[in-house]
Amino acid sequence: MTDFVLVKVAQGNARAVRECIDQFGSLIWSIARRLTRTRADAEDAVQEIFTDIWRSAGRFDPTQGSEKVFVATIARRRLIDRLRRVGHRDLTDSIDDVESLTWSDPGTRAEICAEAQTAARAVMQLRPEQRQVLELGLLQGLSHSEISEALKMPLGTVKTMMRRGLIQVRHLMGVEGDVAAEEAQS
Amino acid sequence: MSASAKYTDRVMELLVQRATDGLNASEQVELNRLLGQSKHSDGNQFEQTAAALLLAGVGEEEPLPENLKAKLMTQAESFTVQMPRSAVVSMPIAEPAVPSRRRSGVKPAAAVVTPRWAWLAAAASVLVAIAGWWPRLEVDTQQGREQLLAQQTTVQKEWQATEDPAAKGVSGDVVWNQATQVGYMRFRGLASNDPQRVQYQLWIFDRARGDKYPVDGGVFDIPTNQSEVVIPITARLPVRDPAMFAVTLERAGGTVVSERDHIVVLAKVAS
Repeated sequence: MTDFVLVKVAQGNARAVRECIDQFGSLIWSIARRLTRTRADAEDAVQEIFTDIWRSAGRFDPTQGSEKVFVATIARRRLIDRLRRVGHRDLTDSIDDVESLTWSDPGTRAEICAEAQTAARAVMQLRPEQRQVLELGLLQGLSHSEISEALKMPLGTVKTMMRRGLIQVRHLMGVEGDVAAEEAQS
Repeated sequence: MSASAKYTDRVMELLVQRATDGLNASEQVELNRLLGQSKHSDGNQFEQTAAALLLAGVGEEEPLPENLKAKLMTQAESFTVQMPRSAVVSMPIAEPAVPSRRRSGVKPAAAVVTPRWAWLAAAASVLVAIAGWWPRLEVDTQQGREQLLAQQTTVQKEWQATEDPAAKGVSGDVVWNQATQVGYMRFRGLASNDPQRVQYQLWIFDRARGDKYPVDGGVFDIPTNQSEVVIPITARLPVRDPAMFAVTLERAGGTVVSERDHIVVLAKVAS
């Protein structure tokens, strides 16, 4: 008998579909609020994300990561698609009365999963300019060209910093993948 | 730079791009092709890291609003209605005869009217494998469409083929019931697709949402050697006032925003 709600959804358990809302609703809502412009956008996005989560539940593999990371991956992908659909936005655009996301030392915060704690510690070790590029892309949802414009930095440099930053974070997390490892060796 | 290093460089570039900025349709097709050629198994590595970093930045969670929770519970009810079908048709033994679903492996039940020889082959595998489930699903879908057509409020519109090569000789229709939000697509002569590369996707244009934001009506496949295919519509959001149904050809897995450069068939609904 599994404890993973996503595994139960994949097995066709109708109650688990509703449990997903209880378990991840606040998390998905919190992410959506920060990566959409308005409350109405966030509501639409959350509905789309849950459909994606239920449909994708069969792909969840507990050996590859936590359920929270799995649902956050799906949420991020959907929200990026929505941001790109809306198109270019100015950094001065207000995002409804919602605080921007930022990284800080996670300490012993109980509410975030182990992977997120490790990731937070890793990203805090990056150079400030590299962390800023990752922050604008991953937490503010800016495209590479928007980051380039905002930081007055060539697009190629943004892409390189993003790539090296992610590889370094993975290295510091001790989860280097085979493609990254191959690149590191070459 | 060696061919292997060039390959790794490009895969990395696309994986990071996907995790941080999203991919367009052609980049997604390219990445699928490259990953399909390789021994690498962790194509999601950067997306998972990006997600972990996002979780690290979220901080204190904001409670889900009650009105949104109620909408999600209703959505969950609709989803669970489809679950038994999804679970059955995703069984590998049924794959060759069943139009497939998104990369998730969740697939809509589809009724397929096949040539006689194909029916025999399908019937044999069904008998061995799932003790009568699969034929019942076909009947369910066909019957579901007929029952829907019997309702007075159901609209039925013929597909209009475009100039797209995949649409050559296509006919069929779409039926939709606004009150129940249930519908079916029927195709004859629509070109089969390679689900690893491209998939068909239905879009429902809703007057209440505007032309820029059609509702995703689901991803589906057309198998080879089928004379007629019926596919249930799985709208991802409530459709308030349907204006047009359009089928596009997209990268495998479908897309959130169609480039609309491969529109295959259309069916307009009068206001």
